[in-house]
Amino acid sequence: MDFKKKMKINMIYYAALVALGAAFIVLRILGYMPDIFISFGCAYAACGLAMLIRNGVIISNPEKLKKLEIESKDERNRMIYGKAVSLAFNIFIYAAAAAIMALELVGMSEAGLTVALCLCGFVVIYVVCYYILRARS
Amino acid sequence: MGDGVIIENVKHVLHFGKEAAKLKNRIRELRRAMGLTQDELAGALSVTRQTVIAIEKGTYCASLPLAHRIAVFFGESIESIFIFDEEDQ
Repeated sequence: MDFKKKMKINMIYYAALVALGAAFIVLRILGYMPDIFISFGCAYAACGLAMLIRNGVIISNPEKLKKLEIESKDERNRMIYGKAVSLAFNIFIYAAAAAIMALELVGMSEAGLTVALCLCGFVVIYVVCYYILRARS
Repeated sequence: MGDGVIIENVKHVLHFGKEAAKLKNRIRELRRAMGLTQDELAGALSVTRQTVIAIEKGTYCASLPLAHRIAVFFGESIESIFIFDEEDQ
């Protein structure tokens, strides 16, 4: 797909994110949602708006658009990204295992169980992704 | 996923760039012969200037499609540009 078209499609997603954020804020103000949703609403609206402006500026400047296209398609950048994600995942597994033990030791078993369940979820997602990628390559 | 796999993966990521140093290439020499800057070569190959620098220094090993693009650009064969020294491996 043409990179410019892809950026335009992304702008629709960011606009939807702004709308979702605004909806959360309005629903919280009207009292239909808990307090936490005002934080979610602000975060979604701010991120969506920032990305909308960024994409708008880039699309209107062909030089910047070309530079961003090269940077996003550059194979070394992609490899570094993949390796960084892989390393972060490996470190996360050890950190989560240590956190579970530490939380159990200080008597916060419910928090420990939550972290353990998150860890299990990550491993399940990893296994699914592994088999999908293996089947495709 | 065994424990050994995780440790090996971490080691592999931390050694990133070191194993590629053994694959020498003539890109700098060919680029200079054509009177091109790293930026111009990067633009012609649709990669970033940092990638060209890393390939020239030997800290990054180009993929086969990129190696092919480089060979086509310089009008030479892949094996004449990328020198694989079996004794070093």
